Amino acid sequence: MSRAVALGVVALLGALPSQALEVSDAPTLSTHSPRTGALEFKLGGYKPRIDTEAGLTDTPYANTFGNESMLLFEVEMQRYFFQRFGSAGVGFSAGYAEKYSDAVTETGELAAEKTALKVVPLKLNALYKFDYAAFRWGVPLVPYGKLGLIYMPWWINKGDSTQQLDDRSGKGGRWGYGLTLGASFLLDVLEPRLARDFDTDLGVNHSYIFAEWTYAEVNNFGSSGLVLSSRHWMFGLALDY
Amino acid sequence: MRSLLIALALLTAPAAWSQSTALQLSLPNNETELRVPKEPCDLVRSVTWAHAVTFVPCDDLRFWFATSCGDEPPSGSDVIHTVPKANLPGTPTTGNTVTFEVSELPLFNDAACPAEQKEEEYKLCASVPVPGGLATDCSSGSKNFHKSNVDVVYDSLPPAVPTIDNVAALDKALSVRVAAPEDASRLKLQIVRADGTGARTVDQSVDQTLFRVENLENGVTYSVTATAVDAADNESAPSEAQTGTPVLTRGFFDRYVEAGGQEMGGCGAAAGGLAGGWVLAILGFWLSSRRNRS
Repeated sequence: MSRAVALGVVALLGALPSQALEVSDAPTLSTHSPRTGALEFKLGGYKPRIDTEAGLTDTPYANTFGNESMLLFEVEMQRYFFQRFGSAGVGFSAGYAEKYSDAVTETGELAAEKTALKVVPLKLNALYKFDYAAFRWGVPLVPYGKLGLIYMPWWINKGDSTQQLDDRSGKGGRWGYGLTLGASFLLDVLEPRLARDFDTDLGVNHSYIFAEWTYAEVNNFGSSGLVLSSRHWMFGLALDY
Repeated sequence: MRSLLIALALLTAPAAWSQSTALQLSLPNNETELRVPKEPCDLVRSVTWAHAVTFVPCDDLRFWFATSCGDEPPSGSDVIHTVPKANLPGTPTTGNTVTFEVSELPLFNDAACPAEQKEEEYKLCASVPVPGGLATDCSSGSKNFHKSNVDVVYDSLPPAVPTIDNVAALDKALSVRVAAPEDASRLKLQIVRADGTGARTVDQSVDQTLFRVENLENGVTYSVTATAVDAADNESAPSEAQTGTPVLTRGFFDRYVEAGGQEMGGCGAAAGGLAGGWVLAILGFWLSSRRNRS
């Protein structure tokens, strides 16, 4: 027992110099680089609510793609204009998703060629992140919200060309709006020293992983046509710079 | 002593460089050999040559065919082209060509052109003797030879017959996968209606063995055969014929429209104007509120 105590004392004495360094009164320079915005990379399942269009007598999306989601990848650039009680700013994101399935013959058999729906969601968001608690009190969770406009170019292929049916074009764009709510987990708390090095070397102030839920109404504000609205989750990595 | 060695090295270095680059034969696209087809026998092929000879050489620059290249053409061999030694320094240093007809290959010294089922390799040799040493010494013991050569292959062997692995029916089109033989450089697909009318040929590189033949008629049966073509333009016998019938297929857009979907396509300009109006209104409200505050 006394040997264990002795080892503990030695360990404590060994740790003292480092403690002293941490609490030294010597003047220090801030090692944080200025924080101006964020970059987000995210991935999630996007299932357009095409089959909810008013007047449809069948469910063409489910019949063709089996009611499965598309894999959506998005990149978002954000710029903060306010950083006192949380951070507020604007963000622009662009993404891409596609879904392939077999075309069918008139008798309903699977054909030898594919049909596909492809979308490129573009979003302009106003955003607010409650990161005050994270930076002030060390709580590593940052809830946030985004509200903004969405423009979504889309096109439908059969074989290797875009479909055209009489006077209908198989490509276009739909407008809408979306609300996103999410929460980020501040990774800096797991490896503070690595986080500092990341800032010093690359100017990345903080890193997060996050999950967010989006409510999007993309139907040209209620006009007839393709409904690309969705309710979906996205997961990703965010870097403050 | 060391200074002398350095001086010698400096003097001999340019000489070594000029030896290696003074005469150069080359083929288009950095190809390593020139493949010559079976016929026509009067087909003219050309090889590019460059030189760096700035003085009158000991003798003419000569080009000839052989199985291996020496300093000079072997006695009895035909020289296919000569550049007189007095003209060589004034000849452009690059972009010169030497041409020959298929029938000039040594194979046809004893045989008639064209020759069936032959693949003969030759070298097109070029050589010019230049004075050796620092003096203008053209004596046989002192002169050097600037030489170059390229491989020329007379190829009248057609490639093996390709096989059609699969014919898939598409909407107004057929997808045809062909297995190409090793020595093929291109594949040709012949498509003809089952009644023998409307023959078409599609030709593509052997790197793309999947053909998509478009602008066909749904419900009509087509017969498809493939041939392989090698680098010397020899064409194989046709493959066994396969048939395919294009069918009407329905993609997602067809199913959407059939279900009563209203989408007409287009960029949604009207809704874009509405969205833009909202953005401008919000921006205007924000700017005016800032002005009032200040």
